Amino acid sequence: MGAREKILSRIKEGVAPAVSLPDMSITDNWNSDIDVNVLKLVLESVGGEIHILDSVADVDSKLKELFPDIKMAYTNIEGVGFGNVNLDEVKMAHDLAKLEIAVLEGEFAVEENGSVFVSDNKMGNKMIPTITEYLVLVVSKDEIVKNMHEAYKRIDLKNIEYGVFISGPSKTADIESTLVFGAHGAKNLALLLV
Amino acid sequence: MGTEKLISHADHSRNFLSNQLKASWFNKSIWYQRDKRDVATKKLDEWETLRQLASDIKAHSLSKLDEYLIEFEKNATANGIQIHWAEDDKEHNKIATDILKNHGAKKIVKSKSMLSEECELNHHLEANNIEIIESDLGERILQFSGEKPSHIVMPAIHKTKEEIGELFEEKLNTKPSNDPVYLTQAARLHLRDKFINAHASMSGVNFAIAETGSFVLCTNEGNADLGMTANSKLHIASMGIEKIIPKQEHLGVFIRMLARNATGQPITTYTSHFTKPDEGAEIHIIIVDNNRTKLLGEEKFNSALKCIRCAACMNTCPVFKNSGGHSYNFVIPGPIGAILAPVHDIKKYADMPFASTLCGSCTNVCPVKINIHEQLYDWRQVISQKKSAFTFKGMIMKGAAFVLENTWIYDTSGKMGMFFIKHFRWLVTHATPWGEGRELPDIPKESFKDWYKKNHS
Ligand code: SF4
Repeated sequence: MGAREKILSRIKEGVAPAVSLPDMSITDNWNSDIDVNVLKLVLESVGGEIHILDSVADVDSKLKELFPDIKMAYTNIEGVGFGNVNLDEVKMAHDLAKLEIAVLEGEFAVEENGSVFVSDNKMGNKMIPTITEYLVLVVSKDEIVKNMHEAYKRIDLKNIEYGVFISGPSKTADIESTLVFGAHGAKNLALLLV
Repeated sequence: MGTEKLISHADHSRNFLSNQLKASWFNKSIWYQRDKRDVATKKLDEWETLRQLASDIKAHSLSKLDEYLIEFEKNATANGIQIHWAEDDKEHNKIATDILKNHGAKKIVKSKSMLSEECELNHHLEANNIEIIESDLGERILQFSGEKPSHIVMPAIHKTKEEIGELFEEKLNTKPSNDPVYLTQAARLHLRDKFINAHASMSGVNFAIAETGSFVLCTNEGNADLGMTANSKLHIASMGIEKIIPKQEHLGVFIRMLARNATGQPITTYTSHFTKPDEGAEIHIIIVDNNRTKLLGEEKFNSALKCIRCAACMNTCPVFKNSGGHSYNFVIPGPIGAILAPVHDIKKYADMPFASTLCGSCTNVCPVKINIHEQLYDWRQVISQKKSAFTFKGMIMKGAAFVLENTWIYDTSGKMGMFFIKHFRWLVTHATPWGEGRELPDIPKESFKDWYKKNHS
C-alpha cells in the first residue's frame, strides 16, 4: 500500500466529530451599498493611493502627470497610449527586471480591504504585477464589491490559471516590526477608478 | 531520553529572561501585534459569527477529510497539477528532492512554509547539493544567522535591527546601518537576483480548495508570487492534509480573518490563487501526513487541526511574551505549538503543555475556535499519567506542574487563588522561570466576585 492509501485509510479511522457545513447565506446580510470613500481610506491605510477619474479617456493624461519621466513601462489596456514594452520580446525574467511602471486592468476592487482582483488573462505576463516597481490598476467605478464574500461570488477559480487580490504595495515588517514598502513586489500602488 | 529535554522550556526561558532589556523589548513588540489585532477585529461587527463559520467549516472538513482530499486530487490533476502523498517528513523531503533532481534544478527560491520547517527540508536539500534560498525577508535573515523561526508569522521577531544590520554587513556587504528601510532595500536587491536566476520555486499552502483543485498563498512581500511567476517552469508546494476546505465560497470567511487576526491588516497584500500551471511548466503538490492522522484519532485533541496559523494565540500568550519563541523546542511555538507537539513525541515535548498559565486568552482570540487552553490542561493530564515513564527533574518542574495543574487556584470565586498567591507567592513567581523577576501585584482584600456583588447588585 502506498502513502496515499495509507493516509486515506488512517483518516477513515479518525474520530473527528460529524459537523455539517454551515449555511453561507448569512454572509449576504453583510452586503450593503458601496462607499468609495471607505475604499479610499482603507487603500490609503495599506499604503496605496487612489485617483478618481471621469472616464478611461483620462487615464493617459493622468499617467503622464504621475510619471513624467519613465524609461520602461507596460500596459495592455486598449486605448491607453502609455507604455513601451513589447511582451513578444520578453523571453525571461531578466527582460522585465527593470520594469518601472505596469498599468493593468483590475477586475474589481474590494471596499473592505482596498484590494483589487487581477487575473492572469489581464496581466500580459504573470510576473508583471509583482516585478514592476510601480503598479497602476485601472478599475471601473461600477466594479466595487463590499467584502470578500461578494468577491468570491464574482470569480470562478476553475476558469483562471492564476489570480491575485492585491492590497496596496508590497510590504514587510520583518525588521523590528517596522513597516517598509517594497519588499519584493511593487513599491507603490495606485488605483485609478474610472 | 535524558531528563534534560523535559525541562528545556524552563531552561530556555530562564536564559531568555536573563537579558532583561531584550526581554522587555520583546514583550513590547508582541503586545504591539496583539493591539493591532484587537483594533482590526473590533471593526467587524460580524467577527464572532465569522469565527463560528470558520470553526464549522474546518470541523466539517476534518470529518470528511478523505473525501475532500480525493476531490482535491481529482480536480487539481484535471487542471494539470501533479499530486504526491507523503506519510512523513522523510518521504516529503525525498519526493521534493527527486522532483528537483529530475529537472536538474539546483537553485531554488522558497517562500515561507512552516511545513518545510517541520520537515527540515532545507538541510536535506543542501545535503543533496541543491541551493535553497528563503525569500521571505524574516526567513532569509534567519538563514543568514543559522537560526530557526521564533514565530510563525514574523519569524525573526526576536532579532533587533542592530543585530540584523550587523548580519547584513557581513553577508551582503551593506554599510553599517540599522535603518529598516535601507536593510529591506538591500535584501530586495539581493533576492531579486535570486528570483531571476532560480531554477524552481517552492512554497507552503495556506488553503486548498477541493471544489476547484486550486491552492491559495497569502503573503505581504509578494515573494511567493514572484518566485512562481519569474520562474514558472517548476513549482513545488507542500501542504499538510488539514489545509483542505470544501468550496471557493468558504475562502471569504478565512481570508477576512487571517490577516486581521495576524497583523491587524484587513487582508495580506497578496492573496494568490493558483489553479493551473503555465503551458510547458509544472506544479507539484506534496500532501503530507507527518502525524496529522495520528492527531485526527485523538478525540480530545483533533480540533487542533483546524488551525490556520494566524499566530494570534502566541501574540496574546503571557508565557510566550515572557519566554520567547525559541524556548519551545517544537517548530511551532506558543499555545498552538504546545498542543501540537506532544502528538509528535510525547516524551520529548512533555514540558510544552506546562508552558502556559491556562488563562484562556489563546482560546478567546482563535479565529477557528480551538479550545486551546482546555487542550493544554488535558495534555497535562495525559502526560502526568505517563509521568513514571519519564521522570520530572527536580522541584521546578514539579512546582510548575503543581501550580498549573491544580485548577482550583483558578476557582471563579478567586478566594482560594488569592489565598494561594498570598501564602505561596514565591512559588508562583519562582517555580515558573517566566515568573522570575516579576512580582505579582498586591492581592486585593476582596475577590472580584465579592466586589462585583457588593457594587452591582
Ligand atoms: S490556534 Fe488559532 S489562534 Fe493559534 S495560530 Fe492557530 S488559528 Fe491562530
